[in-house]
Amino acid sequence: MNSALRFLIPLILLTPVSSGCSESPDSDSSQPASAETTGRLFGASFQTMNNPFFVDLGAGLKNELEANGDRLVILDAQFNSLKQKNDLSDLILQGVAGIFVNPVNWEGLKGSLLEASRKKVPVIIVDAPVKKADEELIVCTVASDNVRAGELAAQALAKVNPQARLVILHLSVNKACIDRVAGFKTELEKHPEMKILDVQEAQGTTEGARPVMRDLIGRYPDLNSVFAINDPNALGVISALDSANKLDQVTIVTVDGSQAGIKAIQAGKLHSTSAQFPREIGQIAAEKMLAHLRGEPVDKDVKVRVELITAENAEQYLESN
Amino acid sequence: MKVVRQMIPLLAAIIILLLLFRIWVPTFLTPENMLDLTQQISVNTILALGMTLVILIGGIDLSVGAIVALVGTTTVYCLSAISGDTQNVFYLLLSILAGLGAAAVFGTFHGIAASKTAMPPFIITLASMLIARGCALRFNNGLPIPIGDQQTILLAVGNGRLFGVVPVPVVIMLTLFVLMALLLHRTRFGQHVYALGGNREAALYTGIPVIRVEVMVYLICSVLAGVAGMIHTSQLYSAEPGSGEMFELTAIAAVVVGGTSFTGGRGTIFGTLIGAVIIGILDKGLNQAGIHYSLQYIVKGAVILMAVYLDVRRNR
Amino acid sequence: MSVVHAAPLLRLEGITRRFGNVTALDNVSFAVEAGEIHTLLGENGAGKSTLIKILGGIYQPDAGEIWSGEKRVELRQVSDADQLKIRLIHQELSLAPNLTVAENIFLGREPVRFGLLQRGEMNRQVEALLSRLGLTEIRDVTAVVSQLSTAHQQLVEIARALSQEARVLILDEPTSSLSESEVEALFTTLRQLKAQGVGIIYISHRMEEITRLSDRITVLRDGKTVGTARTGEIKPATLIEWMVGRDIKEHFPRPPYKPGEIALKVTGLSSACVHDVSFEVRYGEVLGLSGLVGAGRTELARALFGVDRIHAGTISIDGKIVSINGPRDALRQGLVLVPEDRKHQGLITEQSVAFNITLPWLKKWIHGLRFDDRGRNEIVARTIKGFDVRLSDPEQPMRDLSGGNQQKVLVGRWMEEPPKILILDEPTRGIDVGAREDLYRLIGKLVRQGMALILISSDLDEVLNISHQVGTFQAGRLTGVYPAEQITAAQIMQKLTGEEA
Repeated sequence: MNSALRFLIPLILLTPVSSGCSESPDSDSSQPASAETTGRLFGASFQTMNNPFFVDLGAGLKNELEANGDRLVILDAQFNSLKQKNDLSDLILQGVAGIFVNPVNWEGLKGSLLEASRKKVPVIIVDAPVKKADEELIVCTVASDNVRAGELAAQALAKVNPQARLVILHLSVNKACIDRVAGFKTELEKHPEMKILDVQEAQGTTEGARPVMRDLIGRYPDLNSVFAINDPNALGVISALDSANKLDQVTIVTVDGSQAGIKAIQAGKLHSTSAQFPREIGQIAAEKMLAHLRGEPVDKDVKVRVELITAENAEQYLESN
Repeated sequence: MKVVRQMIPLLAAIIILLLLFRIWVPTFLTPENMLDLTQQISVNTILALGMTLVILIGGIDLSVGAIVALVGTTTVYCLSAISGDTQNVFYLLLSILAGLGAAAVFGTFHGIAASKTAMPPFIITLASMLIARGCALRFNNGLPIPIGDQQTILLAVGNGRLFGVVPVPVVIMLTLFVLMALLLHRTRFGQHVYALGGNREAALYTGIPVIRVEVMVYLICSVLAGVAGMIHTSQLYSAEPGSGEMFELTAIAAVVVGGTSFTGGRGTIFGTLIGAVIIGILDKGLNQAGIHYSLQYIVKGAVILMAVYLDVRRNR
Repeated sequence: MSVVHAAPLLRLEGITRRFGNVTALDNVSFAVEAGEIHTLLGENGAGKSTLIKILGGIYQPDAGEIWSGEKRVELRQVSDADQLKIRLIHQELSLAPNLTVAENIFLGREPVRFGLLQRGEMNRQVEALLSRLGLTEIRDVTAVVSQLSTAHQQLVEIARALSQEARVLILDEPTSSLSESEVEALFTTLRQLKAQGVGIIYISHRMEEITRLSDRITVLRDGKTVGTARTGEIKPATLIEWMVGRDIKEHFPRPPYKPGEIALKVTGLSSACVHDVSFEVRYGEVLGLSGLVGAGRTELARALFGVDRIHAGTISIDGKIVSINGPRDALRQGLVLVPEDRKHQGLITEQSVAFNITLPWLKKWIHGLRFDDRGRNEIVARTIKGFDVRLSDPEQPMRDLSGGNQQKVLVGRWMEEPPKILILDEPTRGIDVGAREDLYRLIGKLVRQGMALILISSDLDEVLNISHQVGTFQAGRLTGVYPAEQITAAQIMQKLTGEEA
């Protein structure tokens, strides 16, 4: 055993030198990956893959990149910013041609962005904004127009329930959600007869929303509307109202446009969802990355359309996906 | 050397994993990538060092992840409250002391509760995990608190490099590793820990100060979690109240993969380091080999099971 | 025993079993007849346990034959032994502590109707079983086992083995934790079974029991059969000689009585289980404490050692009142307790012998970060030599030592700095005769050196013959102290059981 170790250790220590020199490092440090235009490896790190939105976004990225003859690795940060940091440094050191990030904590991304820019690896932030100070470290952000999504939800609610007594289920650590709620509140100012009873944290998940909603029903007898920050949250709200037999008394609006959300609209349980187009976000982000690598200029802040889905147009979105 | 000989199967596992990933990922063994590996495992290793002591005395500490978040938020909150826009070494030390102090309070509480009451450590630390997490979320409405760019010393803790080469977290990790190895394997306290883990009652009858030892063990574990929290915060350029979730489980995995018996009394600090390295190699290798994230979970679970099974079989 | 059978119930021929390069059993032959109680005698490590495990189908022999009546059999697994109605009662309790007496006895074959447990039916059957076996000490079959005394748990274990029909019954030291009256009840049961034609293999160290109970005795030493004899035809001294392979003259060597100053004086001591106890022990004196299991002797020791809180009373050492709030205080005052439960209170079994020996003396060889390996080895060597501990390597795990050697380590390690007062709680329980002799000899040496000794033991012969003074304990009270030479075992027994309060 001992002699085997003595033999193996130098072997391992030697291998990197030979392989390290022959391959990537010098080539992409001087010129940002202009050497090849196809067959490259890209990386993506999403805050979670336990959400159909990111699965679709990933698929959009992947389709576009593979159509160009490139490959994509998607990593799941599991809401853990340390894991995301480690995942990103793994990708950077592997010499990927570009990285797409959906950050767990947009403050915490800075170290990774610095590392990427040192190694001249371009970064595109998807479905999240970035701090002004960090803007020069990235190619661009590609995101839904979340403020607009919030406005659409508020308009939809005002139309059916102008006297709304409503609660908001929030995920206040997430910048996209903050934007949605901001847009929603701005629109609400035009309708002074609508009142916000409470804003509660519900983790952005179905299982997180259920108990919170049950509480709210008990606390506010006059509650008749809910703005949930995404579809999973809205589904939790529906489940809580259903079990309290109050589903028909409450109007629910949300943002997302997932298949589950659209089906809930068709079933009459959900009033509307401001649809995002995650595949489109992915596709556009990939296009911007490829354009950047070709040396073309790219807009810093790319907004992707959002559209209101209600019972009237639900059918068409169900088919389109 | 006897310790090293016991570790041969694990060292062999490291070599096999390294070679295996070298096949898939040509750049895997570059010095830069390996240095990055040591940097990536630093937080988990430091947590696992403390966890080793706790598991050695037959206890468990589920609160370390929450302590990581609490120490980070406390320190950065204090720092931004008293220091303002300038860097002041004295204020920085004060803030770090406040953070580590919060960790020490929790650690002391764990030790006293575990040794003086019949409450199981699993429950004690489960409860304080919730309490510590709640305390962390009290700061800044649960939103991340950025560390100002002027705080170069604090930022260097997680991002600096000694002589421009060795990452500071790695220096801290190795220093703590040496200190903990000395403490466990070269002091009276270390012998007390093994005695307590082997048979608490017998240790009591032999005149070992069991309560003092137990309090010290939990205190060390929490303070190390505090140090890990400091590095973590610095690496993220911000204190994140929600961070550190599940860190306790990764730390426990490193300890157990490293051959420490879950029932206490048997294990080494060196083993824990090896365990943390194995988990780190897996994380990095699977990422760089482009393994789908769903498969990564399965592989990691299987490796932990296998390592523990082999260890148990070797010691039957 | 006049009935002559064509073939014995169970016969072993030339059984050999090796573990690695250690031969545990070497060409052992042994037989048990129907209606016979056959005792297996031997020191720990003589091969008794291995033999039993072969009979139970747990180990397979490397060579040799097993015959059941006229038929050669193979005991490949536990169920094979089960089918031959060989019932084994282990020394270690194997009951589920959280279940009731009845549930334990019927474990694995509970009476069920429509998938539902027939609890009432089960309890009735167990009650009938217990009264048939004469185990009437267990009054409540619905009591949870963990709340019974160790002795009663042992009886439950026996009842469980006998709840199914038995042809051959094997008991491994069944009386080690039973009181005299419980032993009597057990013997009555065994004699009944014998009359029904059951063959009984009985394992014990207690010479008095063996001669009273068994028909034949086989002695094992170092994995070999030394001899088999009818009980009436052999002297106990010869049996001991067979066992240990040497001539032992004096079974219980009482140290000479040269009392010095009063070492320990206890006045009106009360704790949770001890009430108003007063006594004194002098240097060079052995105070034996006898009593039934649960009478409060162990609790007295725990109170003196600072493990249990003292409610009232004073403890003086060398005429000065001392306050003892924990074992550390007691040790500082020169008082050492070697607890009764070696496995749970004494040993750190996973660690090495050297670790266990040096644990109380870390200050002597660890200075800051410096390990004084020579100092450590000297302490270990002194203890091993001084207490005649037999082992191959001081770094071997404690669990690999025999019970006798473990006990020698637990007592001997304190002699690095001999205490003023030494309390030994059941020091010879589960220890073979050879090691027991050694321990008595070492106790004698310590007392001659002037140590004050308190000996707690359930073995009346031991208490009477080793101690100078004998105290009787009953329901947490010390009911009297008598000079050992002026009292007999029968008188003590009467004091312990006669006047039940």
